Amino acid sequence: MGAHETQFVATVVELLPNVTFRLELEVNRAQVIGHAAGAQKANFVRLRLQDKVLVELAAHDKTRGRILEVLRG
Amino acid sequence: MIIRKSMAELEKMRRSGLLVAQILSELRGMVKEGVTTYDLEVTAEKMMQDAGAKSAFKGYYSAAANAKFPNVLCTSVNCEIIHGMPSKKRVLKTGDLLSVDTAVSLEGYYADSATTIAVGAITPEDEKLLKVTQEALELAIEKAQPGNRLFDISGSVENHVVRNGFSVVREFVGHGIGTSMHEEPQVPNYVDRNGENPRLKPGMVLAIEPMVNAGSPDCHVLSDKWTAVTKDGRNSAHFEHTVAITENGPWVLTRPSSSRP
Repeated sequence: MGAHETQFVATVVELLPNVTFRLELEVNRAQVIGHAAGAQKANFVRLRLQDKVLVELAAHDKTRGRILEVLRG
Repeated sequence: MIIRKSMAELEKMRRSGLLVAQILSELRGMVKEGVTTYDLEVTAEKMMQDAGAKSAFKGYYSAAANAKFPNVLCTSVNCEIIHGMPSKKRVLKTGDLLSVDTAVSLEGYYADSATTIAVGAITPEDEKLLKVTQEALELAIEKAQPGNRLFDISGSVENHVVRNGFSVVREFVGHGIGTSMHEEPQVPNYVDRNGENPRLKPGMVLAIEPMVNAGSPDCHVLSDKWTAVTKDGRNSAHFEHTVAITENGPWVLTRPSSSRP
């Protein structure tokens, strides 16, 4: 939807409750909280520390975002 | 969230894909009048055991059915769309349309494919149904390019099918595939304006599976809780391939002749 400046590559730095994760953005090393996007049971996909992900930040709260993709390899 | 696979992971999925292709081509050779769908099941199970592969279907739990699927194959005859159960009582006869769907995992990586086989001579309408469904799948595979969006795939299937006077099933969709049989995203065979429409990127793997009804798109599930049939009792066709999206275009993992682009 529109410009894609809200999507960033980030690294998982901490596993939090309720399938949320503390992520560190690659661009400015800012830390945000991310949750898995999509309707499927999010905990079926296990994220581990140091996994690279693509995160889309919320429009009005830049400390939260949805994890759109897991980048492996 | 969508998991993008590395090249090494795609190579593993390719091995599963080749096994699925081998099983389906063996079954294609077996199908003729008088064979039961249970005979196919036995052959497929043996081939999986010999290859050291695990069936993705047998033991697959569905919340809708509240049960585990008991077979390694889905065999759906004529008006059955998908998820038909192999049975000793189901004897194939000339003119039947048999859809065979199977998925395996090798080293934890899955591949999923299906084909519809004509038993002997079939009516011209059924022949057209098979041709259109297969063409729709080919068109969809062509669209599996980085930079396109998911609905480019869905739209090309829907367009081709509707233009030929058939209809697409809306209750069942394709899916992402990888270290489990069903991953995100869902791949509908129609443009679902309420659904997500992610951009396709290298490393994504989709199981694209057009299910086409000769008559109306309506379907219902039989009392065995698995078999989906058309409401109007007319025939249905189903083709499926596992397609990886790479930088250089689609790689059909379940087609032996498709080389890594």
